Parts: sequence; structure tokens; C-alpha cells
Amino acid sequence: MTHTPSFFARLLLRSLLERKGRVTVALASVTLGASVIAAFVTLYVDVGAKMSRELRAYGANFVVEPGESRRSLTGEAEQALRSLLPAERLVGIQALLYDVVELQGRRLVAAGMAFDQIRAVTPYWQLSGNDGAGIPATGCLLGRDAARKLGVEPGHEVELVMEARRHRCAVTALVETGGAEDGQVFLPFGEASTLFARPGEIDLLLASIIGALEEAEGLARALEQRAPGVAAHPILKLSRSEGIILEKVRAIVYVAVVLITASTFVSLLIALLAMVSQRRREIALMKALGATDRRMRFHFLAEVAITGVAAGILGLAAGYGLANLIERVLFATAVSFRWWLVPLVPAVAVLISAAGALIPLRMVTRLHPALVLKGDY
Amino acid sequence: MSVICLENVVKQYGEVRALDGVNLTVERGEWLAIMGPSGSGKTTLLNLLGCLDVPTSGNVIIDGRKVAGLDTDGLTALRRETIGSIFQQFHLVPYLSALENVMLAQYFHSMADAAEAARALEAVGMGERLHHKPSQLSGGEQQRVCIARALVNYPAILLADEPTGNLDRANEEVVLELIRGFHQRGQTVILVTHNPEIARCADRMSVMSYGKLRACADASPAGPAATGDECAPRP
Repeated sequence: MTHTPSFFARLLLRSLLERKGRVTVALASVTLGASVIAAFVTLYVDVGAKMSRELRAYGANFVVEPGESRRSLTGEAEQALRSLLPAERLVGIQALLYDVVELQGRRLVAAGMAFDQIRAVTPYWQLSGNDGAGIPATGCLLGRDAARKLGVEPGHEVELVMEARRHRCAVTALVETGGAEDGQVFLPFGEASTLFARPGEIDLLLASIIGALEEAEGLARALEQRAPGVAAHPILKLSRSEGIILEKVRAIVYVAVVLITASTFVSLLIALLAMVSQRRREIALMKALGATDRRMRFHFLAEVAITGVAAGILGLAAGYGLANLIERVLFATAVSFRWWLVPLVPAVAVLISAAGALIPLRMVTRLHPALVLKGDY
Repeated sequence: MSVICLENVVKQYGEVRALDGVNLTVERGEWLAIMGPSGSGKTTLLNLLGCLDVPTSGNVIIDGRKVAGLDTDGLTALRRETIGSIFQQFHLVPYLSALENVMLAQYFHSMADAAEAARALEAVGMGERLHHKPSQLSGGEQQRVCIARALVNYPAILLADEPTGNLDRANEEVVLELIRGFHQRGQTVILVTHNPEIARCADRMSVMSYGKLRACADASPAGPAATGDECAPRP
């Protein structure tokens, strides 16, 4: 004996294949919606971290200074900061040591720093005169205004004097920031410590971190507890702007998802209404043969669910591709695949399909076989 | 015991009275032919007998069950269990084979059974055409599939609306022979036709006119007399 479920499956398959055109329209409409939703949800989740990373081009957004009771920081503060932040959220950290030195008889501010952190913490610095060779690891960097006043050019050797201590270095590049740095000289942190005779000391830590303002404030509180005697705080004007931009981007994504869901719903509704109209005689016949309204609804919903699941799976794949494309264009990075989207997107596609099927289902229920088959029965 | 009993049945569509106080009793195993011009109310009467509609007033009792007390699902169940239908336009599902069209009626009745559906098609001479789609069948063949579908669930009553209306003479004979065979097994047949020759195959003939069963006469000398005193619903 042939079991009813297999006939049900056969009936569904035949029915779907019979209306390839309309089923394709319904499938395409839900696939399109599901793919854009999948892409935007992926972006919605990723955009915070990605935008935050992009906004790091504005430079450091977190400062650690000595507390009121201390003259300077030590390496412990930097270690504590590193230990409190996951590596992927720390773009860069710059330890700075300042003092005043003499160069060709003129007094100017000298700063010790890690040259390899310049791009991460102060990416807006313009370096010139080193033939695009990148940031050198040795030598010193001279502010553009200071170089002009002193008549120094890249490649020249200069001598920095502080009390009885002297430090000779070759100027490897000129620094232009539009700020106070243009009148300063910069040398590697270790050499600065020796020249200033302040071994183990740090005046200021500048960090570039990824995260919202609230997270940065939480980090500051945690750091002050972990390393007593330090004062940490986010640079508010940057962190707040970041938050506002992220909020707006997320709102745009949210509105787009809502609009796309609505338009998918409408186009699916139109396709399903057309499908029910086309099948009036078939539905009437099935009812005349003894199909209850509940059974007809189940049959119709099963067709819609199959379309929804197929559209969800196709949409998930297409959405991942779309999200990847958008992220490559906007952020030059690949998107991370979210496994929780695998059940979520098909489920959303089925829900949209089921919602789109509500009105057509009412048509199926209200269809009176006697009226449709009128004159023939 | 009558299998169909209508008592003073009225069906009103707005201002139009499609059935106007119809009384009818059909005995189990009887073959009744209903004739009448277009618009006389034959379709409305068949809708009521097929449990596709309910009367505005009056009683319709099918196989001992009162139609007036049933909801949509109850009407569907009664139709499924009791009625087999043959349509003038065949109404086969175009994307299903002959076998699947017959299985469709089984599926909605209880459970699809390919072997039994094939036997029903063999019984109407369609054993060689099981896997043909309706578009690959002639009109006579499509009607035979329709008959197999109507009979596969062993209904108590067969409703046939102009079953030979779209057929040539040879196929008309085949279809009538199949209906005759069903009737000879003791089943009830209600057949609507414009053709007096076909109507004369029945035990009895009624004529619909302006919503009334205007005349009622035995179509054949052997036909049982219809009475109106055995209409009590089954307990």
C-alpha cells in the first residue's frame, strides 16, 4: 500500500513543478529579501567593530596619565592596559616620555616614543623626506616647523643636548601634524630615557582602542583599580562622535531591513494571490473531492514553507556574498561568517512567506467549490 | 429506507429562488434521472445533494444524516464518505497522471493506494493509460478516469452531471455502461442530463422547471416507486 505521506510529497512536488514560473517569482522575491536581510544583519553585527576600526584613523581615543600622587607612570600601567583588553580591540598603544632639550642652541620639546606605533596610534601624522621608505626604526624625527627654523633636512645629523648628556642622531624624516608636534623632535623611547636620565618612567600612554564610549569608560575604571595611582579616561570628543556615527549607521541598516522585509512581503503576497487565483478550479475540485479547509491550508502552507526554506538557504548564501562584497568595498576586509544566521535566515524567510500567505490562505478557505465549479456540478 | 430525502427545500440567492419547495425521495439502489432546461435549478439541486451547499429552508437528509445541522467540515466529511461525482468537464488535475488523479480522491478520503487506484482504472478500461496526463487522453478516456475517481472510494451515491455531454456516441455508450454497472451493484445514481435517451436508462425521471420538480414519472417499468414517508434521519 502506498502511504499517504509519500503521495502528499508527490502532490507537493508536482504542484510546485507545474507552476515553475510563479514559484520562481515567489522564490526569487523571498531569496532577494532574505539575502539583503542576511547581508544587512551581518553588517549590523560587524559594522560596530569595523567602523570603530576605521574611525581609529582619527588617532588615540584613550589616555592614561599619572594620578595626582605620582610624577610618572611605569611599564606596569602599560602591561595592565594590555592585559585588560583583548588583542583584537587594541589597535595600538604609545608610551611617551617628554622633556626639553637643546638643538643647535635652541630649546625644543623632545619626545621619546615607539616609532613602530606611530601608524597605529597617530595615523594622521604626515612623514616626509624619507622617500616613502616608511617609518624608520632608528634615528630621529623632526617637526616640520622646527626643521625649517633650524635649517635641518632629512639625512642631516643633529645633536640633542640635555644638561651634560648628548645624543647624536640622523634626522630620518620630517613630521607634519598641524599641531604642536611640528615644533618638536622625536627619538626612540629607550634613547630618550637615557638622554633624559629617567629610566623606567613614562609620562603618558596614548591608546587606540575599539569599542563604544561606555566600554572605554569601563576600561578606564578597571585600569585604575588594576594599577593604582594612574588616571585613565577616554578622549570624549572622539568616543562620543564614534558612538553617534555608529548609532546612525545602525539605524540606517535597521530601517533598510524593515523596508526590505515589507517589500518582500508585498511582492510575495502579489505572487501568491496570483497563484491562488490561477488554482481556483483545482482548489475547488479538491474541496469537492473531500479536502477540508484545514487540509487545504496545510497543503498550501507546506508549499509556501518549502519555497521559504529554499529561499532562506539561497538568500543566506547570496547574503553572505553581498555582505562580503560590501565589506571589501567599504572596509577592505572579509566578513566573518555567523553560524547563528544558518537557522535564523531560513526561519525569517519562512516567517515572511507564512505572513505573505495569510491573505491568500483566507482566499483558499473562503473559496466555495459550488460557485467555482458552477455549471459543471 | 431512502438514501436521499428532501422536504420542502428552498434555496434563495438574494431575490432569486433557485429551488422552490422541492420534495424528493430516492431509495437506496435507485437510479434517478433529472432533466430540465438551463437555469431551472438542476445545479443548485445537485449542489445540495453533493453537500456543497445548504438549503435556505427545508430539510435535506443524505444517507440518514441531516445536512442542516452540519458545519463546513461536517458537510465535507459527509461528501467524502458518501458521494462520488462525475463532471461534464471532467475536472482532472492537469499535472497529475490518470493514476494520481484517482489516488487524489483516495488521499482526501483516507489513504492513497496505488494498487487499488490502478484496479479502479482497469475496471473502466484505462489499465493501459495509468501514467498518462489528462492532456494525453481523449475526452472519453478523461471521463473514464473521472468515473474511476468517483467510484474508487465506494460511495453510496453517484452524482453525474451531464456525464456524456462532451462525448461522442461510442464513448457515451462506454460511460453509460460503467454507470449501469455501478447501479447494478446496488448503488444509487443521480444523473442530470438533457438527453431523454440517456434519461430513459434510469429507473425514474424527474423534470426541474423554475425551481420545482414539476413532473416525476417512472422511466422504466421496473423502477421502484418513490415515496416520501421514509425520510427520518438515522439515529
